[in-house]
Amino acid sequence: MSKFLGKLLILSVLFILPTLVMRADDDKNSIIKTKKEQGFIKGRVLDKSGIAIPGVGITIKGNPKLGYITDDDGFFSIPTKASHLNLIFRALSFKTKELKAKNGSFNNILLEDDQDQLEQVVITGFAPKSKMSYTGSSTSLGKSELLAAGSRNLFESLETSVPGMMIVENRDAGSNPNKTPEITIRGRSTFEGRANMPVFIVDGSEVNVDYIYDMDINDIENVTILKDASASALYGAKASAGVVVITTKYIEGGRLKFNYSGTTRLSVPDLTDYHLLNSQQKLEYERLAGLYKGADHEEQYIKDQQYANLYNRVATGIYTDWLKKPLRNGLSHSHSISLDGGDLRAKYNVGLRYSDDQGVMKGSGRSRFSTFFKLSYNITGVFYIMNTSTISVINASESPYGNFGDYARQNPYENPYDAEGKLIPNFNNSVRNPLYEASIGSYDKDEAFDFMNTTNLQVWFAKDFRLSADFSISKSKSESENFISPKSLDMRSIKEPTLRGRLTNNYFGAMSWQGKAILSYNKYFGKLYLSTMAGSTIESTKSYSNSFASVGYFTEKLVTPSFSSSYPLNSKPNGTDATSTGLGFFVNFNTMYNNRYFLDVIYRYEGSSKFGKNQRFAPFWSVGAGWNIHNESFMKNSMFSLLKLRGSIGYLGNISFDPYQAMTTYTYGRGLNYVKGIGAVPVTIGNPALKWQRTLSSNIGIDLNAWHNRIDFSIDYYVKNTDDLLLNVTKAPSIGITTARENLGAVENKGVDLRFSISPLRTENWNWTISTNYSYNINRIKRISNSLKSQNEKNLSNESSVAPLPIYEEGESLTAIKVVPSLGIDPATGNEIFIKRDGTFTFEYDPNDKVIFGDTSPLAFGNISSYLTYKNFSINTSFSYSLGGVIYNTTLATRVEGSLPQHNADVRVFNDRWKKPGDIAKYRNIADSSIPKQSSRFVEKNNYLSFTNLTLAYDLPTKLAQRMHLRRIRLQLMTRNLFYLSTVKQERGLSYPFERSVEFGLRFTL
Amino acid sequence: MKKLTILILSLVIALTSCTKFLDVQPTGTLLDAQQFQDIQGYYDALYGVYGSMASPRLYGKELSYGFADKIGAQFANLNISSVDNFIYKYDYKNQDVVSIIDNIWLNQYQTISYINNILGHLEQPAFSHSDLPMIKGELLALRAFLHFDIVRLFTNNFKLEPDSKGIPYAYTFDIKNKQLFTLRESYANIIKDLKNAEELLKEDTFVEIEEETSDGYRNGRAAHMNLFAVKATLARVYYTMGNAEEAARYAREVINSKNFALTTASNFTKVMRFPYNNIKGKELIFGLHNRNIGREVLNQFYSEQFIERNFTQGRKDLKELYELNSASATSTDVRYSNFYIDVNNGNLFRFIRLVKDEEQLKKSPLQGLELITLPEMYYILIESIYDSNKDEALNLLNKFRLSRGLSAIDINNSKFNTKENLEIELMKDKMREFPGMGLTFYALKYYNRDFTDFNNVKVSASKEIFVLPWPENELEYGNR
Repeated sequence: MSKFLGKLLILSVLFILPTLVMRADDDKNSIIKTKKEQGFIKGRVLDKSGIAIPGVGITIKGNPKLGYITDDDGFFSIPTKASHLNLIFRALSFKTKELKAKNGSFNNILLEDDQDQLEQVVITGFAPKSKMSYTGSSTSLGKSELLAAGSRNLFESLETSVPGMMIVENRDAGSNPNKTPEITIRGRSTFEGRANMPVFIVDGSEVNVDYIYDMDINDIENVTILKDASASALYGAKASAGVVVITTKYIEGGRLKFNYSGTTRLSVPDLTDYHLLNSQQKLEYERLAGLYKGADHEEQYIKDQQYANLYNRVATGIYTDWLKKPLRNGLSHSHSISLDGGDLRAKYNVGLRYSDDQGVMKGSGRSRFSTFFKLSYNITGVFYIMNTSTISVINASESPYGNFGDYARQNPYENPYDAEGKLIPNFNNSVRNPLYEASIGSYDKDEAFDFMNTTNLQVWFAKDFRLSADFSISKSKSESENFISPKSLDMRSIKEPTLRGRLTNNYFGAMSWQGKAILSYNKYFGKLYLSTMAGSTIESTKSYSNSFASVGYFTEKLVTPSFSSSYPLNSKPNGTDATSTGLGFFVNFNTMYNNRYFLDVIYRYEGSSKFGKNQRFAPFWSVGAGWNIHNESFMKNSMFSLLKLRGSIGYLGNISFDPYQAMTTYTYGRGLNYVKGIGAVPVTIGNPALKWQRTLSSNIGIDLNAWHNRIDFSIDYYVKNTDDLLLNVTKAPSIGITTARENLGAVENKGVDLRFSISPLRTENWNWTISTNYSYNINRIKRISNSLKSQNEKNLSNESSVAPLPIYEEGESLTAIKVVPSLGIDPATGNEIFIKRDGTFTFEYDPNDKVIFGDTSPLAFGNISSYLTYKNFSINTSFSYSLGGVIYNTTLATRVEGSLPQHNADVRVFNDRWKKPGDIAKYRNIADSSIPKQSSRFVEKNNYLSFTNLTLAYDLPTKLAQRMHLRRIRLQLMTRNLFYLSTVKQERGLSYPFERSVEFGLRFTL
Repeated sequence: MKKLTILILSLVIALTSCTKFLDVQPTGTLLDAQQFQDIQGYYDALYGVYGSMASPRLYGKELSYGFADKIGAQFANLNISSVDNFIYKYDYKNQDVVSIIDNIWLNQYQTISYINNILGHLEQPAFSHSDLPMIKGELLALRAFLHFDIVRLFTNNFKLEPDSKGIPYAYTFDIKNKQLFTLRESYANIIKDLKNAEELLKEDTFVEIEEETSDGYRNGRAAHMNLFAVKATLARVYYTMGNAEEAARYAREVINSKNFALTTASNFTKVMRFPYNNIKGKELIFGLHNRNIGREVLNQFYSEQFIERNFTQGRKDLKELYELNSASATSTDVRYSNFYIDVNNGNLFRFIRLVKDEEQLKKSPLQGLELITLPEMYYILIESIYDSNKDEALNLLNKFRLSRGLSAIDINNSKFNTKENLEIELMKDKMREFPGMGLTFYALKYYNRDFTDFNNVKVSASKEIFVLPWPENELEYGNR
């Protein structure tokens, strides 16, 4: 071991010397030399366009201990006493080449581009599996595809390219930089939102979704999304919602290289869906809604005066554009630099990155700073070790302007400033002035610090027998502070100044480590290829949180706990902590016969601390098979370079309950002090029979590739049955608890994913590829528990909810919308007419008349993109679409009807509501401000087309770059969300607006 | 190949021995089996039961000065936003009222489930200790005590319909439905648990509240379900069943014990609340510690301005109830001035028994609540021996009256001459004695007569008022 370390040290100090030596030898200007030179084999390595390839690894067949690399200009020179040498040339993204070279010759070596290099293996995060014999359904994205889709966060890039993957659009949170998106792969299979999230793996270790959200896209080499059982069975217990495997940049080695990548982005808020009333319209709406009608003469007189005042004010032309007040054009920028280098054996990569994401609401933003250091040492075929350390610091702040919805409600005839130009705290009717609230020093911010270290190790015992191991450790701490200023209207009701103003501090910390060890053995037995793998995984996570609040701040300028007056009355600090551990063992056999027929079997046996003693371990397995039709003799001269039929079936799991639900656990934390001692009570009545939730997932698919990659097509049909769904079952309270967690309930998801891409144009200078992906998923509830049935009854009769609440019924979908059918608005009265189940019409609303009116899940969902390059220019566009889903338009239900006349509303209030008998109107009586009943009037088709991305890029020609002493330089201009066309006219970005952006990026390598 | 097999085998072995690695617990929690490894674990679980009973959801508020006293016609808050507006009208269908009732049912049974888990471990304790039998005794009695209050709230009057539907009686800690018993069987179960407890607690003879609470399990027994608390509960149960003989027997055992004695009128303040700072009498038989309820009590009964609708007020007819018109130098009910203050010339009364004002909250805060006190034993004994020994009953009544500052009455007094008059008088006295303790509802139900609510409006006795509705979930999911 110390021998290796010693070598490592020397090498990292001396790596520069060999390259300098080589450079001194060669004459760069002549292209072909024929003069014979004794004792050396020389040459140059070029790619198919004649550009030299530096850093190519050259080894001598039969003598793996010696190695050479080409210099900046592709030249190499190998000293030897033999007459001939068999040389092997290896470089990343190029096909390996062998050459028998004569001593004293000069050779030009042309290396072929290997577009499929990265696709020859499928990266599963355990060990790369040969794509030829891979039975699973997965989508893989390389670096260039990721970067072409944008650099804001990984999820936006993934959504455009992965069929079946959907980012749940958060109409509320809009483009808030501090909200992590929620994603689902192949449909919902649990009733609770977050449990549907896939597992994220980075360099072999599991990380949580926030880590991915803050990752630098420049760091990523490859992302593979594993969707079916064959793909994710290795992850067993957690994999039923899919696995996203991320590999960070390979270290290339070679001469010292400096890379820089930077972007600047301008974000503009997107308010195209907001159409609010102006001052005159608002006043008129108030009048028509009866706000100025008094109950008696006295009251009428007062109201008439109020109306007259406002009328005069409006006549002066006052109009406050509230929507624009809290917004700005956000200027964000991000920079990454990295250094890498090394020789054949030892390589390193160091990087630094800083990004500052400014949201479109003033004061909202997220800044990220991180640094990483990677070191690897490799003796090909014998030993490989790589260590990566990353440290990151994230600072997040929410806008002091609060919720954007507040501004959409403000009246346009109010002036937020008084005669002297100061902000007024509140208007009539105790409506607070949100601009005032934003100016008094309240804030909400977060800071997080993360450290992660991963070590990967591979040892070859023999040519075909290898041990690989990973170990990673991560520690994170974060603190969040939320301060409400003493001047806030919320504090008005508190009389004592020593109780006004409140600071809440929350501290979080987590420490986790995980490890993996795998033994693998591959061998050819004639035409039969066998690959086996066995190993085990172990993990442990501990996390804690503590929080306390302090009150009595006299000024918003001095805000730290030392300036507070006391803790809040009758409150005490809080805290939680959690620990969990897991252990697993797995075995994988993969065989292929004659490169045509293949079979893959995975078995995993896994245990977790979250399960009761009775159910501690559970098995997961998958079986897959496939047929490489393109390798059959009858397909020999066909246009297909790939035609593969594959299928898989397997059991995956989902850990989604707390340990104390399985095993009765006593807690001292309920504050039940009994003077003589602290009382301990059971957290709940444990259910020792609780089992893991498991999904039986079946998939069949076809992959094909024809006419030299001109057409690339892949289609999958899948069925996922989730059984033993964990649900809360209502219990008779005489048992001592209201609900118990039991395994009851089953959901089925079926669907199709397809990905199709075609390259109609491919010449020397031009290259055009169009690709599209499509997915369709339906789900059915096969069985539900009785507590959900009782929840259904509550939801059914809950008339005060704005949008219909989900009603889970066996045989129906999790996402169906159930409403009472409506005939429209009666022109005589302005009231809604409903259609009962028996077909009769009525003014009376009865929730029992509800029928299914569509499903929020679309019939077609996906993406279309086009990638066109001409010489060094490229233009990439992508659109995302959705067809066939429906949505309950809550804008209509809250801002057109159901709007309070005291607040501002959508302009349709004024134009399309019923005002007098005889009006044929779309919406109810303008004077009726009650919440509209959940009827079919507001169910609308949700078809949309969004122009998500337009990117223009230019790679400077190598010669031009070299004149600037750079190897590569790339300029990129990108715009996002230029337009959004939808059949539904509803407000989007309720608490935080959506944005459109233009981004300029620069990338170069020295 | 051999290397491979060895490696795989060793992995398998390592795996199975690594299950210990998967046994983890967050801080402040213990697995069930570990909790009961030592005596301290039993103590802590027992204190968990008491703590749960003493929380505001049960005897810390709702079953004492809260809901129970509101349906017991003692208090109401007339503020338009207060749910009391429905409670004092006995509108058990109102959503908020339903919610309070459902929570009482749930929390009571939850505490019973805690008891059952400890009792389960006591069947086969991991070690032996002299305190274990006493702990078992306490728990059995507590189980009976808690079930009994459910019976008193949610079932019919035993004297009228002894074979009607009883309650689910929980004996085990698991998620299976508990068996439903008839009323007669439910009472039998309660009595059985209490008698077993009496046997196990036979050494528990010294009862008091300590000044400085020590860690000793055997000290400060008045805050535990002690032997006399068990006897007092038995007296209550037999009394409610109409079994005068047994009720009298147990009441006598408590009254005759040296632990307890009625106070003198001048020392009444010592017994009116849970003891604090050595201010204690000898009337407390069973109480619960809770040092955190003072603020909640003050919020309910105190206001910056004592006007109608600002706070929870007492009965409007207090002056008549405490017979202030016939008060004299030698016969004034000391309870009136200690429990109430008149803030509006006889129209509005403020309750000060538990916590008077902010100053008292700071200087001598409320330390707990009294659940069973000596006066109740006197009431039971007097009523139970009236038919067999009128003279002794009268003596007891007069002795009690004396301790409350009232003069003695003779055998022909209209308060005593007939059984019915005695019952009416005792009902009135319970209204006078028990505000803040949540016991008057049970008395009203037992006597089953018409009464006046706090606002002086007549209320007719009926099952709709005296029997609380069961939670919907209980009926539906318990298959009742």
